[in-house]
Amino acid sequence: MAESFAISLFLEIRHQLESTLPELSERLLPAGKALLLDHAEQLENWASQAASGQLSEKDVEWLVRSQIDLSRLNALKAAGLAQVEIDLFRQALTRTIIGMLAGRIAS
Amino acid sequence: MVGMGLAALTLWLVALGCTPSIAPFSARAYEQAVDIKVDMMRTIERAEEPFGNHRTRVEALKLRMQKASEFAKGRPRNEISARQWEIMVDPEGFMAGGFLARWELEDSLSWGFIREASIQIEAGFDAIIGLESGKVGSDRR
Repeated sequence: MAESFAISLFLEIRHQLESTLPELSERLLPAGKALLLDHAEQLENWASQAASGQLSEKDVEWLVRSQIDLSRLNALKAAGLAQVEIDLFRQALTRTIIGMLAGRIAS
Repeated sequence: MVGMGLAALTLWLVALGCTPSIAPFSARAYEQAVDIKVDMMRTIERAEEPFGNHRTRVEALKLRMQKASEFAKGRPRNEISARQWEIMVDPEGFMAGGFLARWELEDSLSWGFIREASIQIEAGFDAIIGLESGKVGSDRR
């Protein structure tokens, strides 16, 4: 259900993109499709709340944009944690090499 | 001669291995983020009421968020956390800063919107807190 909503939305976006920015559509569509499918359930939920009058069109627009900001925050978190892991690996590697070099200097 | 070369290489490796590419855990940054998140979530719940009734509280909260953002910016090798705070406090964005700006502009917000926006904003704060607590030196790692 949620996925079919996302696919309908994607088809509409593809139509608009191909008619307004045909030169960019091939590059933008895969990323857009992935983003929509990742958040299909959320989008469906907001659409149904808008249909029942619990959310206005303006509310839904704000929430969709907040989803983009949230994705950016999570991407930054993932990037930061990856840097931490790289640092820890580098420290462990350095300790190993130093241990081996120290052994060579002593001998 | 070879021994001196190895010693120099060892010193270089020590220097290289000791320089992290991202700032270590800061208890102050972590506590700031948690405190602000809790206050923000409590403040959001009141957005059905007229903004004017809560102006003082909101202004104090915005100031604390600005301070947390500046603190993040001022720490060496902390660009990623600083960027997260920029997104969170941006009044033209769609996280805490944007929510407060919309509340002020529209005077009061619907409960349906408040409920959905609070889920988004809470998850945003969790991303900031999650990065800080994942840094080297945190006992939450």
